[in-house]
Amino acid sequence: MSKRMQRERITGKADGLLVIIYVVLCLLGWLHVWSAAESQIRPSPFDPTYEPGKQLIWMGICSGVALVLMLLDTKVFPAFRSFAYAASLGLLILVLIIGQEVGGNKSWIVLGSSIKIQPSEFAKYATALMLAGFMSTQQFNPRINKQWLWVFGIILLPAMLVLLEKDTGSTLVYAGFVLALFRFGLNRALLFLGILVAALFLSSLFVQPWLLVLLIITVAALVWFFVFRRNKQSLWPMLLITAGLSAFTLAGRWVFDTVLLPHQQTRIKVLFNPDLDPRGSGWNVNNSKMALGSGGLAGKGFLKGSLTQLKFVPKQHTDFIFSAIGEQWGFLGTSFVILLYLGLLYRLVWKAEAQRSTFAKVFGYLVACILFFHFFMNVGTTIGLAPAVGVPLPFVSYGGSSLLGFTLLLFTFIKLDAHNKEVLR
Amino acid sequence: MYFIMFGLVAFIFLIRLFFLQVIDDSYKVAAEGYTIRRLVDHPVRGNILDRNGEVLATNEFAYDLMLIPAEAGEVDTFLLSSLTGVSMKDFRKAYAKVESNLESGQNHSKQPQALVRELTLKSMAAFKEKMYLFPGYFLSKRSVRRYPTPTAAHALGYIREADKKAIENNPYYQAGDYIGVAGIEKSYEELLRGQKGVRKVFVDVRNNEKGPFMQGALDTASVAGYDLTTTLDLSLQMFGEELMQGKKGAIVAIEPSTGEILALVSAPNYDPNWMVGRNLRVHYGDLIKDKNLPMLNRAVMDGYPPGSIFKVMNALVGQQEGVIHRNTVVPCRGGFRLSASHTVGCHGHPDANLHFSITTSCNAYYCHVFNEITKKYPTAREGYSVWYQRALKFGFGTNLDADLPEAKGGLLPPPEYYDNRYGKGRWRGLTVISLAIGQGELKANALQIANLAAIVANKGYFITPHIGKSVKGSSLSQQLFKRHETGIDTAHFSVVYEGMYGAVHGAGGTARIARVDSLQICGKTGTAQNPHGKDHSVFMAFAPMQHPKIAIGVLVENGGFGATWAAPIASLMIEQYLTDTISRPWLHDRIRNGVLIDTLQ
Ligand SMILES: [Zn+2]
Repeated sequence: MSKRMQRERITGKADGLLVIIYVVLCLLGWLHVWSAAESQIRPSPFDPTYEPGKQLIWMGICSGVALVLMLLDTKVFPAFRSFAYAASLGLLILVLIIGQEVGGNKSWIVLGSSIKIQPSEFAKYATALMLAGFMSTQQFNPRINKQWLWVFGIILLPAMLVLLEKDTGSTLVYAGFVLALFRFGLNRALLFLGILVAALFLSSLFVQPWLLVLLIITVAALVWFFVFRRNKQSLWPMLLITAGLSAFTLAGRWVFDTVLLPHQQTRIKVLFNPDLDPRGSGWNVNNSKMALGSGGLAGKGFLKGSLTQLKFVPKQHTDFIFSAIGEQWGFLGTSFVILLYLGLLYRLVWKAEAQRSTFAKVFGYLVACILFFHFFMNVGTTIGLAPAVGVPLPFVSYGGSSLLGFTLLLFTFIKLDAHNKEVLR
Repeated sequence: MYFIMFGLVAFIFLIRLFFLQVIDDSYKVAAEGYTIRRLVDHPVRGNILDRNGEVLATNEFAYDLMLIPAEAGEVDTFLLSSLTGVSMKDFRKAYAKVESNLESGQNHSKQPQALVRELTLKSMAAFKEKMYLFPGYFLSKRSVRRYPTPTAAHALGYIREADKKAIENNPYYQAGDYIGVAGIEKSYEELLRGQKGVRKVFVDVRNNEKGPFMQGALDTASVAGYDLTTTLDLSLQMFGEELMQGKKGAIVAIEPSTGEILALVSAPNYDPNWMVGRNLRVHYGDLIKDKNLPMLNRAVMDGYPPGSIFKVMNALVGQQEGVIHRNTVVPCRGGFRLSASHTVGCHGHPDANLHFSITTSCNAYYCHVFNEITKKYPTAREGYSVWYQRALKFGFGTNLDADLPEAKGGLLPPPEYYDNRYGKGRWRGLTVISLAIGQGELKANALQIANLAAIVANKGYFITPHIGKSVKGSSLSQQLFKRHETGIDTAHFSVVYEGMYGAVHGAGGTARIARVDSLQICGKTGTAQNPHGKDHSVFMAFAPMQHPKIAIGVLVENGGFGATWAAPIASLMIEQYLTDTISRPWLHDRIRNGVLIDTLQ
C-alpha cells in the first residue's frame, strides 16, 4: 500500500471543490471584516485585539477542528448524536439562565473578559446529527405520520429554546431543516401550504382581511370547479382548508399585533416600506442598499468603500458584511459571491444525493439547506428582500461561534462523503 | 427540486443586485451627498446660589444659527437676513469672523460655527421652515446665562466664548464654547460648566438629519454642571451696593469664624447681564471706556495705603515682640520727631497708653512701636525682616489664596525692596517709619482689611476668605477652609478689642458715627493718603464684641476721613446683617444719596 493510499484510508478523499470554496469564503470574510474597520485607526488584520485578528484566530481554530474531524472514524458521528443533542439542549437552557444580552438577544455565554459563545450555533450542528441519525434508523418510515411527529419534535425543541432567547434569526433558520425533509418523503403539499400561509400572513398586514377571505373563497371555488369537480370526496377537505385559511387570515392581524414584539413587527413592516422607520429598522436596510448601490458595476476598490469607512451600515462586519463587499467590489463582487454560494450548494446537494448511507445523505441535505437558508435570509436582508432578522452569512460574517458551527457542519459532511465508497450497500 | 429552488433564489438575487448596483443610480447619488455632522450637546451650566439658596446666576434657552463652512453652498443671504431679523451688515460681519476663524486655523471647515447668537423664538421658527434652502446651516439649542437679580457682578464674574488661547490651553474647549473668564464663573468653571456631549448624525444632500452615526454608539450625553452655593448673602450684598452707589470703592464683609465672604461690593458696578450674548455688544464698549473703571474689582485690587487701620496690626506685633505692653505710655506732644526738621504729625496725646492710642489713632505711639521693633535687633534690616514676616502672616502682601481670580496682594515691601531703593545697610527704621501708620509704599485692599478685622475678631487666626460654600454632588478644595495662624498670643488681643470698642463707643473715639447702642461694634478708622486728590476713607470693624459674627472692611475713594463715609457704611452694613433693620434712616439716606463721583460724563 502506498503512503497516499494509507493516508486516504484514514482521512478518506476530501472533496476538493467544497474545501476550496470554504477557504475562499473564509478569506473573503476575514478581508472584509478588516475593510469594515474604521479607516483612521484601521488595525493590522493580524492584531488579535481587534475583530479581523480575532477572526483569523477563529479561522485557525476551525482549521484544527476540520482536521480533527477528518481523522475521526465516521461511525463516531451517528454514535455521538444523542450526546451532542442533549448537550446542546443543556447549553441552550443554561444560556437562558446565565446568558448575557448582546444587541437585544439573550443568546451569549460570556467566558472571561473576551470570549463570547453562542450555543445556538452549535445546536444547529447537534440537531442535524440527531435528525440524520433518527431518519437513518431501520424503524424510520416516511409513510407513517407518527414518525414525522418525532422528526418535528427534534427540530422544534431547540428552535423553541432559541426563540425564548429572543433570537428570531436563529429560530427561523430551523425552517431550513424542514426544507431538507421534503427530499425524504415529507408531503410537498405542506411546502405549498407553508408558503401560502406566509404569503397570507404578510398580505393580511396590508390588505383588508375580509378582502383576502373573499379572494381565498373565490380561488378555492374556481379550483374546485375546474380541478376537483368530478371527485366528490375532495369537497370536504377543500372546504376545510378554505375555512382554515380564511380563519387564519382573519386571525393573522391579531397574531401580528399581539404575538410579535414591536421590534419584530417593524422589521416586517419595513420590508415593504423602508421609509416607515428611516432611523430604526429601515435605516439599516436603507443604508446597506445605499452602500451596495454606490458600489456600481465594479465597486470603489478594496478599502476604498467610503460608506463602509464611515460605519454607515450598522453591524457591517456581522450581518451586513455583504454590503461591504458590494460597495468595494460592485456587482462583479456580489455576483461572484452569489455564484460561489450557488456552487457550494449545488455541490453539496450533488454529493448528498450520491451518498450510499442514509445518515450521510440526510446530513448532506441538512447541511445544504441550513447553509441555503442562512444565505437566503442574510443576502435577502442586505438587498431588502427579506426582513432584517439578523443571521450571519456563513463563513463570511464576523463571529467565531457561527464560523465554528458551520465548519463542523461542512467538514462532517466532507468526512462522511470521503468514505462514501467504503459504505456497503 | 433543490437545484431549481437554489438556482431561482440566486437568480432573483442577481437580478435585484443588477438593478440596485448597475441600473439604478439614485443610491449612488444619495450616497455621495451623505456627510457626518458632529453636533455638540452643550451642557446646562450650574446655577450659582447665595448662602440662603437665592439664585444669583441661572440659565435660559436660546437658539444659535450655526454654519458649517464646508457644507454651505450659495445661499440667499437677503432671505436669511429677513428670516432671522439680523441686518445684512451684521451678517457680513459674522461671515467675516467665520472666514477669519478658518484662516487662522482656529476652526476647520467641517466644524460648525455660530453665525448668529440667540435668535428670537419667532425668527427661529421662520428659519426652521425654510431650512432646506440653506445647506450647511442649522440651529443649535444652547443655554444662556442669566442673572435674575442684577447684583454682585464683580464677584460672579462672567463667561465668554472661549478664545484661541483658551482652546489651545485646554483641549476640552472648542470654538463656540463658553468659558468663565472672571470671578466665580472662572474659579469654579470646571464644576459649573458640566460635561459636553457629542452627537454624530448623518445629513443628506437636502440638509436633513438622517439618523445617528453608528447608531449612536459614539454619542455621549451632556452632563449638567453642578450648582454652586456661595457664601454671599444676597440681601446684604444688595444693601451694600445700594450704599455704594454714586461712589468709588469697595466693601468686603466676612464671617470671622468661617472666612465666608458675606458681601463683596465694588463700586461703580454694572449689571452682570450686560456681559451676556447680545447685551454684550450694546454695553461692553461703554463699560471699558468709562474712566471710573466699572469693570475693575476694587474689593480685591492692589489697593491703597490702608492708613491708620494698620496701627491695629502694629499694636499686636509690638506686644508680641515685647516692645510695648498694655500699660506702655508714649507721650505724644503733637507728633514723632524723626530729625530736627522732620516730624510725623499728631494731635497731641500726652499720656496715651495702648488702649487710648487705638481709640484716638495716635501717630506718635505707632512710630515709637515700629522704631523700637527695628531697634530691638542687631541691625535695622533684621528688625524690619521680623516685622515683615509677621505682617505677611496677617495676609498683607498676599492674595490670601481667596477663590477670587482677580485677587491681588497689594504691596508689603520686603527688605530687598528698600535695599534696592536706598542701598544695602543704608536705611534705618526711621527711613521707613510711615509703615507704622499704614502709609508709604504699602498697598492693601478691602478684602485684606476685612480679613484683618476677622483676625482681631478671632483673636489670632483667620480662615482663608472664600466665596464658594458648597457644591451639591461634589466637594470643594479643603484649601478653602484652611486656618492660618498669625503667631500673636490671644492675650494681646484684649487691649485691641477695648481700643477698637472705644473708637466707636468711647469718648474721643474717632468713629463715634458708627455707634449703634444695641450692638457692640469694634472699629478702626483710616485715611489713605491720595497724592492725586482727596484722601480715601477707610474703615474696618467687627461685631458684636462678644462672639463676632461679621468682620468688615470698607474703602471709599476720595471719601476723606475714615469717619466720613467708610465708618457709617460699615455701621449700616453691620446693623443690616445682625438685626435686619435700619434704625437710622437719616444716615441711610445720607449715605445712599451721597455722590462722590461725577457720573455725568
Ligand atoms: Zn498722638
